[in-house]
Amino acid sequence: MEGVKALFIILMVIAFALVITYISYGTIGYSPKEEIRPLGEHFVKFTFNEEEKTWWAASPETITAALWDYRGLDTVYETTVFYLAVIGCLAIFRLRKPSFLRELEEKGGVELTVIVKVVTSIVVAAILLISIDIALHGHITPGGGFQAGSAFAVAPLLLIAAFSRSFLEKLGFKINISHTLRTLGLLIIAFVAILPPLLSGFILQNQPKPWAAFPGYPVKLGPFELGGSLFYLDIGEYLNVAMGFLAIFLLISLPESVFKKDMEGVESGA
Amino acid sequence: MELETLIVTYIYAMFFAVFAIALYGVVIKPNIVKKIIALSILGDTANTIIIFLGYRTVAKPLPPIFPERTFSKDVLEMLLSRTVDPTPQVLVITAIVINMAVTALLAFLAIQVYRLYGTLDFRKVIKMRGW
Repeated sequence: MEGVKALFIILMVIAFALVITYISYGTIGYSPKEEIRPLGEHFVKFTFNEEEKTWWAASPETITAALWDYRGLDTVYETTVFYLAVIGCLAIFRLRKPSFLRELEEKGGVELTVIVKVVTSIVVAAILLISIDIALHGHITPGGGFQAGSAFAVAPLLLIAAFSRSFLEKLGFKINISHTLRTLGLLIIAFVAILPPLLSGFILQNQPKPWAAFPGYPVKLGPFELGGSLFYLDIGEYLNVAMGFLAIFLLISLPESVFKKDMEGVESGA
Repeated sequence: MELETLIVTYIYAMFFAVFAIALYGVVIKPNIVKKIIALSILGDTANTIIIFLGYRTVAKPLPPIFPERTFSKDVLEMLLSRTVDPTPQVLVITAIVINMAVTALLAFLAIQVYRLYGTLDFRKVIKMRGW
């Protein structure tokens, strides 16, 4: 038994050294260069090029344009991965008897002092406003749906810590509502992606191309710049990510006693 | 040795040190929560390395965004000569959020393991299962 253990440790060390060497070999010796790489140059050159509209994405923000236009399909799949990860969390934490939740709501929770609560409510209001701003301006300034959703995720955490979980539910941040909005976000993305093929374009098409009949999403609505489809996709992504994290935090903050009650009669490890 | 090369070498050394520590934590630590922490450090280090690859050695680098939302040949040339490479940033932004989702899923699994077995040490869990 001892020999097997020693062999295992030696193999571990060798594997460890190999992985480190392999990763180092790829990057060490590389130093930042002065010129830009061809792919990056392509993105910067064409994303807002009003003189050569064949390749343009109608957005001055190169990152969002590349994310949702040049490699949009990839981002859609990543959004789906996120959606499925949250479904996994829900499946693990599902309750056999959801009636416990109602009892919990009636009981209320323990809150922190007035000072903490006042400061938290100011900070949470600022976080919500900023996250919405990042989402809606994602196609013209730094930001986008992913970033805004991650910024939003801090707000429910703060509220749970300073107030309580039932306070959050009384405000309207319920698990069912978060599911609905999350699915709505994914549906917005799916609709925006599938509309062009229905009008004889290609999937996730943003701006008109010479080889596709789809006329492209509008670039401007009055004085507002929309960046084609990027605006709608960012909103969908914001809803998906923000509400996904809200659902995760609402579930993870459930008290342990609820699950103990729920798991009564279930064999451990069964 | 030039100062720039020295700094770059230092940054790489730090990357690989953190990388090695995180890999050690994932492989060796028996506590599941420590494994999750090490895994998230591993992911963040990988993301930081990728972002670092997009840096350019120009004076006053810019983010790859058109200032003032206007397009002209001059602005484009100025941007092409000074902006950092957008490709690594595009790759990393989704990876960060997926990382967060995976960490949340792992945290949920860890809570469930604790609920079922009363321990987070996976060696004890294996013994309890009789494997």
